[in-house]
Amino acid sequence: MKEIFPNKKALTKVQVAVIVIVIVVAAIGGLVYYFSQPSGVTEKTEILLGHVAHLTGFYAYEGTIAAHGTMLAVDDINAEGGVYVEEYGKKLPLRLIVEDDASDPEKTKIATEKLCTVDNVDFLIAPGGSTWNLAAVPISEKYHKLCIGWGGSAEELWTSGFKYYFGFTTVNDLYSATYYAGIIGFLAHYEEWLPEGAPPPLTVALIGMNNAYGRCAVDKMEELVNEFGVQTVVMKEYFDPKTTDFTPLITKIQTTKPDAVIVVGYATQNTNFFRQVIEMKVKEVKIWCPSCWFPQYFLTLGYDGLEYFFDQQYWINYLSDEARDICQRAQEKWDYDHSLGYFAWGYDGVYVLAQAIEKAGSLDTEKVRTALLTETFHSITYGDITFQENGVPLVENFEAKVPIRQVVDHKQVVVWPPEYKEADPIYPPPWDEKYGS
Amino acid sequence: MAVETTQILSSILYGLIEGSLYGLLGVGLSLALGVMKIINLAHGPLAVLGAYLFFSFIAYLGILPVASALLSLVVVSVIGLVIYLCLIDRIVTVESSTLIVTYGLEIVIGNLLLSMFTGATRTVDLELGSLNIGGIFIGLNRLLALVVAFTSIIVLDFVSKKTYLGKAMRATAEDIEAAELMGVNTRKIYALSYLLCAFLAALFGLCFITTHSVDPLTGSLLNIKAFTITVLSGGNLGLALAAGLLLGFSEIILTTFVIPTAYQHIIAFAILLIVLTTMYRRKRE
Amino acid sequence: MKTVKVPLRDLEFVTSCVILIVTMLVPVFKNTWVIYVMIFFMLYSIMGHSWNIFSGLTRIVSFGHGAFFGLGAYATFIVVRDLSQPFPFSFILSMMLAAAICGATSFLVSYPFLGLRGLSFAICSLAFTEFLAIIFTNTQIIERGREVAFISPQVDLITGYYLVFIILLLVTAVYWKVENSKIGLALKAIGENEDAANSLGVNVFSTIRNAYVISAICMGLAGALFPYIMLSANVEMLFGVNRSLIPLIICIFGGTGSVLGPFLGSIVWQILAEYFRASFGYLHWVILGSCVIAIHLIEPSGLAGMLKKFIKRIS
Repeated sequence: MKEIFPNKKALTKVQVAVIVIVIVVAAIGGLVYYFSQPSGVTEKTEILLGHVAHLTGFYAYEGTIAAHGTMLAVDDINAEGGVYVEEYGKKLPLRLIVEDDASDPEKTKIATEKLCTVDNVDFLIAPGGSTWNLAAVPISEKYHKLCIGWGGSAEELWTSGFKYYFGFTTVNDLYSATYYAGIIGFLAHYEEWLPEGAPPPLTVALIGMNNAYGRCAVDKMEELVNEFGVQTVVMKEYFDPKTTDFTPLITKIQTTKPDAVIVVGYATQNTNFFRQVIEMKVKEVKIWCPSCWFPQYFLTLGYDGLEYFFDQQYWINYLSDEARDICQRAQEKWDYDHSLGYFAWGYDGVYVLAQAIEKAGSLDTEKVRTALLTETFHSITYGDITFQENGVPLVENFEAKVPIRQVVDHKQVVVWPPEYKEADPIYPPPWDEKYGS
Repeated sequence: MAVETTQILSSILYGLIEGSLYGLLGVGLSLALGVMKIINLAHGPLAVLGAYLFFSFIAYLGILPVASALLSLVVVSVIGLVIYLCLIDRIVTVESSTLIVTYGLEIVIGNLLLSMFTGATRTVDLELGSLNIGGIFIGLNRLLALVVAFTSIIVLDFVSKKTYLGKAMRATAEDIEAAELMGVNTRKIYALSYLLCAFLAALFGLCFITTHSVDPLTGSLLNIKAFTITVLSGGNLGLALAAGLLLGFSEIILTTFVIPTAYQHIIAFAILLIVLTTMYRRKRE
Repeated sequence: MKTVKVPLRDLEFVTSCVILIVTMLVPVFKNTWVIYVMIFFMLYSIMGHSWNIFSGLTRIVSFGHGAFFGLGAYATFIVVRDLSQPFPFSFILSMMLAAAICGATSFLVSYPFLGLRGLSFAICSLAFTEFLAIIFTNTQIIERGREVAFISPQVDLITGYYLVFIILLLVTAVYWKVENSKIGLALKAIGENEDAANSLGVNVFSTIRNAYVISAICMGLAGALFPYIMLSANVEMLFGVNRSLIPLIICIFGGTGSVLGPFLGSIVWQILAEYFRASFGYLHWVILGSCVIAIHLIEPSGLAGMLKKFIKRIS
């Protein structure tokens, strides 16, 4: 393999030539690229939106649904001619550039940088998840690009002084107070829905994935349960996301016999968990609730299987006619159920931004930012919404937006809160009837 | 915590089922490793592919489950053979090459499935009902998977010891040159072994999707568990079942009674570390 | 005309120097997108060199270098987040702490682990990394109950770029020195035929243990850099299978046991990955995976091997 000759320092002419050519070509290429950057002001004909999304990788499902939300919003707005920008005296259409970050925060950084510098977008929509938001936002801040985020709940997003970041999911406190107060609040207020003579649900088991998301959620829920002081947490367990068999957990549940079990997992884990619960015909628990509800649960477990189970989620189909409408159109366009929070947040990201641009009358970042902080906007998910100084949204009656539903007779029936409920929950669920005794 | 008999019974039964599934998962990888000395990182993804094909045939083409099962087994086996002949055959002697090629396959298969089926999890419900054993309800689909896993491993063991193919495979595994000299067409044996591995992977995939749910990227997680079984069984096919049961039982029993469930997978890794560092040390000649 | 040839080893040296020089000059062009791509190229190269120091030379494949990456990152979090040290002192301190933690850990585990070879060692190292990952996840040392561990930006992009570059220079130099020293010779001899090396008087265990420790320390330095670039991390990002397998793939792709290997592997990997990501979105992983397979089948000894053959053919 090696030829060892006495004079080690000499190179053949050919080898020298090759090396020189490589360096020269690289240098010329770099210079050509550098100087070929378009300069000068061109007439503004469109508004560029950049969206970094998880199109592939572990979170492809959630990311794609959100990307579809932004796409549908852009289509809807462009169908009316675009966004009216007073500064230009006309309507400018939106153009969306979606970059895939493969669910990898490293790539999120690269993609965000590219959108800000190479594509020179006017506004950004961040990917979902705190980890990825935290990767993207420092970059958007650096370029003074306004960034709308969704699906990021880490406190650091709001306490790090990001000026140009506005969100649709809120700081942990608000997040937990609303999202988890959904089911926790439902349990705590049992006196309002408990049927005559039924034993009250007093014990809760919290089961979570053994990762940051699961642990965060379980901790917050435990805090809330203790705050309400009505139920007690009798079991707090974690499972590895790789788990496919939940026998240890389920047998522990069968021994501990909590009244309510809340499970924090992603779609795969929750599907496996509840599948086993249904198979093992666990009757000891009266309230089963996955903390995150996916339409695909019905695909895999069926309405029969999930009968009498509870759910809480930003089930936007329910929230308003508008929400139902965009879900319906998404279903027609992409041929699967899009009625998930991520879709609506993606949609709202673009929708609210468009309103802000109109109200600001300009594409200038500072002016749009001022508009976002001072005006009220209409969102599909939350109705009327305003933003606080740190970018956190404020919504009237925030708590009321998380309905709790029970699967009854092949339908999801809203059982809480009282303002929206369609029926009282069936409690305790007739397990003997469902599973046979 | 009070220990009830139903808990113990449930742990034993489910440990048995999970364990036998682990065994089935591991035996395919052991085969590839033993006969061809390759690290087949495509093993998990092929299992997932088999599962998705099974799902698609039933859900989209409306084919009956039994026919779908057979069809997906055939398709994945053929794919395995094609993979072997086109990709692995030329580099089968180089360990690191098979590593990189199968890793590439892992990426390709996983992401192809992801783009075709989205990341939503799928499962196949055979609607067989369940059996009441001493107060515990076990789905018949799980018992079926148990039977399939057990039977396949026993059949495989039989094939390996009593048939010409099996003996040829073992001979090739032990000493390829000697086997060649004895008239074994080792190239054909390699191809058939890989086909068999793909078949076993697909079989596991079928058992898995009927008892659990899968998403396109489950493949890499399955690989790790398969590694554990391979190491525990030391490449001996018959022992794969025992290794699987050991892992299945210890996971369930330890996490039910002894340690928090969050530590479930640490058991596999702890077993791996202990077994490897004590029993696999290189002997000085 | 002089036809005396330089050993290929020196050609690798020259090419590596050229690559380093080009890398150093990239920020001049002020294309921040390319800068980010290059930062990760450098990071992967560092990881590749680290892996090469041990596995490339001894041919004992390690699947578990991710453990040291994670430990190195943990060191930075301790220094920046818990001890709140200011930059630049924090940088030096975190590098030293990372080196200390990884050095100590690798030294300790070398005794039970380095008796293994081949697939046994590979799986053992993987199990060790996963083991650490579960411990870190359950004890929440890094994330402290939050979704990610987060530090505020300590340096701007260009400074960060050159910090990574300095470590790259360091680790490349370490690799070069190890490969071309007595220990390197011993490692290669062990890689070729361990028993023969042993019978020639090489103390196999202490040689590979030393290589393992150096390799772990270099990987730890890469890990310590990571929070400075990413600002946020959780256990999955630090100890995940990707941290262990990607440097391995890059080295095999680019060429093991060669200083040029990680560079070539990282360049092609990063450039291809980025080009496909920006152009194909959805299918980019599929195409990337297919490229890995295709290139490897065409030239199993990696890109460095391809280059060597090309050079040989034209001279």
